[in-house]
Amino acid sequence: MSRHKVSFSIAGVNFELESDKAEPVRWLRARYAPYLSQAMPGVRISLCYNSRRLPPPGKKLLCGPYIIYENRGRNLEFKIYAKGSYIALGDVLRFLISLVLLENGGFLLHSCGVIIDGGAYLFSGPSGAGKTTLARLLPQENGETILSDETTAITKNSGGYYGWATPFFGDFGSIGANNKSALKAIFFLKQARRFKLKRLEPVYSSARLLGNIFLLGGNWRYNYNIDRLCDAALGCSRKVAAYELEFLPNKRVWNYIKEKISPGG
Amino acid sequence: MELYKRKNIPWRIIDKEALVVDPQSSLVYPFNRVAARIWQLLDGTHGLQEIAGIIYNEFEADQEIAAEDTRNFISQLKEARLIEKL
Repeated sequence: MSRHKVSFSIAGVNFELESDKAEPVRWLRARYAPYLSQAMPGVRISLCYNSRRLPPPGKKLLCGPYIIYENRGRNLEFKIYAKGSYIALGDVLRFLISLVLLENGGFLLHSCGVIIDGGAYLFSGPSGAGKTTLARLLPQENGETILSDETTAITKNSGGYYGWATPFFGDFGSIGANNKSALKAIFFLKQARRFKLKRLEPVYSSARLLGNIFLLGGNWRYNYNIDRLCDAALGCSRKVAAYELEFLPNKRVWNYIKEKISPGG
Repeated sequence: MELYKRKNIPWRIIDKEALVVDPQSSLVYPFNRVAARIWQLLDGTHGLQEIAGIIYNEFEADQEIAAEDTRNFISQLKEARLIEKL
């Protein structure tokens, strides 16, 4: 049976996915176009729609109509037995990418991400909090860049934390570039009748992060690495400033934010 | 009666405050310094009165207020099923 392959890079991790059906690979090539890569893969994903063979050795993870096996050999490998439509594949990949980022203290955050003056700023909250609204209101006139209106990746290295674009987006649509920048601050959104910024201590910032990290919120039944998630949230909270942002969803919001993040703001 | 934390509840202390995660309910609890200290003391070797006494001593609180706050907080922890009795 012929195999179809696609390679992509998300948040600095190189993936190779091969499938026994062409459609999912075509869909990924279109959907992940800015993220396609020829780099040596660190994570291999094998997608089987037609296989009835016995499952491979490894830890069994479940995700909706997909059954996933994780195998840690020389490379991290996932084997996915799929029963459903390949459209749901995006959710499965988001789940796997979350697991992979967690290996190094990173995670996917339900957030709108932007780059302003060379620094990444994330605006996090559940659906309806105003993430897409903020992305739409951002005046992109001085080099401001949107990373995503829905899901941004956070990674950790010796120099600190980075905010990355991802191919997971909301109503704003595809962003079109695989950008990253040093993470300067995280804001937790609260729509209100005023503008107000409140600094959050690390323990409160961690609690907010855990509520908005993919893998948790709805996925807790997997009970996968919650200890590691706690450490990732705490690590980020200790290094990156976090705030609760009360805001009115109008054009003044970005003036208010830029004033607050400017030196001396 | 000694009280202890439910098993398999991840928790961390940060700057003397605590972060407690309940995988069963999918809830995350940030605790302030006093609550974090009470949480630490729920190790199966202390009873309610003893914990209230430690809080009274360590935080220089009014004795009655310390006892009432400790009782209320432990009651909330029980309601949230984060602790069990020996």
